[in-house]
Amino acid sequence: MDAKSLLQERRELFENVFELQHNNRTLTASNNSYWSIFDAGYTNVEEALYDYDKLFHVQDDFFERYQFDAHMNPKCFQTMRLVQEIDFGRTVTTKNKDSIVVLDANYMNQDEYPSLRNDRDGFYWSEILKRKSEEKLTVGQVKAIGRRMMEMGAYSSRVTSALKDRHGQLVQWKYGNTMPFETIISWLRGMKHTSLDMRQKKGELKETLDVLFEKDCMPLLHAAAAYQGDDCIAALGIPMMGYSVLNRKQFEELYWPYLKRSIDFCVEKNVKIFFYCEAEMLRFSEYFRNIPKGTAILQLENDNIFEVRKALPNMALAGGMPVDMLYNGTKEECEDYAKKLISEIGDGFVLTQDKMLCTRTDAKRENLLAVNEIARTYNG
Amino acid sequence: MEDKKKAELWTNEEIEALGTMTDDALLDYSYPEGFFKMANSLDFLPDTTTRVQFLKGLLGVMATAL
Repeated sequence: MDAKSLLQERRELFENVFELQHNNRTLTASNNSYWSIFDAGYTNVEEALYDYDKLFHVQDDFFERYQFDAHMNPKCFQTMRLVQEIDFGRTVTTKNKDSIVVLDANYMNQDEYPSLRNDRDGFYWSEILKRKSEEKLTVGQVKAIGRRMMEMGAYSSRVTSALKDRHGQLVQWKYGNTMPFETIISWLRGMKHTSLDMRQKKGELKETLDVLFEKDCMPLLHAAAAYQGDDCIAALGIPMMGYSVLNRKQFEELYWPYLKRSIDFCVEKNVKIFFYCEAEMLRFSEYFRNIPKGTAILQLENDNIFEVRKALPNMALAGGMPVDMLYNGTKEECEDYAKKLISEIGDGFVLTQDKMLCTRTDAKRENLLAVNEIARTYNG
Repeated sequence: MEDKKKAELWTNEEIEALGTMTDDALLDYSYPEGFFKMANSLDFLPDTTTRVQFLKGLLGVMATAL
């Protein structure tokens, strides 16, 4: 089958997944962060991350080898090269260059919420940039970062084209709509200081989240509603990360209002949603119970997927295959577990890894190949 | 004067009049003047509108994704 036909077939099968209808095979998706670099034979991640041509071939070979139907992160960890030669930001490689660490960093003071919501670009330029670099940046350094961003754009287009036109595989979403709380906890204040703000400055925090939702989220929602492309599982993605530190009351005040508005918008405009839930979402599952069937796929991480299936019969699920088993288990153990998932989760299921594949010890090639073969051939 | 703090109120001619900076100069963190001088210095891009839009995107990436 040629790539165009494959793409069309996959889109139709994913439509069935959304509707929880039966397919004659189980769809797969990769949840790869940068494991593909080790799979390609590199021992030092920077060798590939700092060379977009090498990184393209890493990903292109990955697409070909495993024949996933779709990918959570087809472009790999592409932003690190932007600041390759300067000490900037919170993402670093470890001493052995065999893993990437994203630090929990605080770049914003507690009294700066008004600056963020009133003039975000000005605040980023005047305050955040210098706090993220060890030394003052020069004009030449920023120009170099700008040139690399253009290279990154070219790399990104190359990957997107290869994925669609050569492999007939899909990307998980077109527009990633992070909730405004993520901007605060993940990018500006960090976990510790956001926790303090929730107790000491909740009014300021809430007011800022309202503004960020209008400025950042609403344009993405409208863009997703207008999207007519054919290369994604869903027009809109909602990556959920920082919600996991919230208790129910905090979730209801600081996360759910924006999530609900996003969901309601998508239901009204018939926009498909792909939720990417890090950590455990089961304790919040009741909030998702009224989402109409056919609207969303929910990618899980640490949750027991069998429990989530019972709690949310209205939603398609993705996930399930334990990364630990993919590395430490035998091929037969992986095959048996994949069969159990396919049989017990039933219709409306995408077989993916239960955590992002990152380090070398997150999967073995033979196990991943075996699991994908089961998905193609085993029908419960 | 207050209006000049709002980047969107500047015309391309006003932005261009701020001039460029040499590669070895330290970044001017004033906003929007320093921002516009940096944009003017992006000589690998064709015109002021493109330079300002590109720098805005770059700023967003640098302030969040990195």
